[in-house]
Amino acid sequence: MLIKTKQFGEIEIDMNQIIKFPNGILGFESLKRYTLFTLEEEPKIKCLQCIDDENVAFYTIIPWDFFSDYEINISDEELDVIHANSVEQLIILNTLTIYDDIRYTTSNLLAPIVINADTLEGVQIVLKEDNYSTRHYIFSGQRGEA
Amino acid sequence: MLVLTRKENESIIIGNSVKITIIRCEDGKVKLGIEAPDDVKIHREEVLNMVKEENKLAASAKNRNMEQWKNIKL
Repeated sequence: MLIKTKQFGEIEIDMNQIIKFPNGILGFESLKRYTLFTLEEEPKIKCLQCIDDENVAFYTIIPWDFFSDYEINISDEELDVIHANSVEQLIILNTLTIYDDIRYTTSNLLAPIVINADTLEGVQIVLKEDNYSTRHYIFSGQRGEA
Repeated sequence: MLVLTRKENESIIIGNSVKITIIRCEDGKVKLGIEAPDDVKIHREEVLNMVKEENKLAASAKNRNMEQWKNIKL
């Protein structure tokens, strides 16, 4: 099917590239269907494009590409949402907030997005508040919490 | 909304597995003790709101200038 994207025009995706978020994403609870693709310009960045609203798209990273000691704890209840029973099924992504000067780009380590690659279902989880915040600089030189 | 009055060291029980105890109440602050199973997520409301706001900011960001990415060591 052909879908409209926020910044990459129309792209063709297969039905098996549709990721369903049963609970939506926090703040976008009514939007349930997304697709994920890697940016040609920068393979470490993936775009989570909403299918139900072309204007909603998140740039995301695999956290361990930038934060090697990142740790998350996912509850059974959250795994149930995406029908996951093994870590091998999971893709973990963290959204980026990009500013005019991209050197100050931050990632939301507090609320990772967890996708079950087998069932193509996703959920955003909020970790315990002690360790991470919604804004961590991703580039060296700006490392740390924003 | 159900409104209950409780004193220090009194509790309320929610469902079969969540117990909230008033530990201390002074200076306009209430200290709560919460006993719940591990799979019950407990968050301060403002933390969830912070995540929502950050999501909105993240979703609204334009892809700026992708050329800039190439000039930065990822």
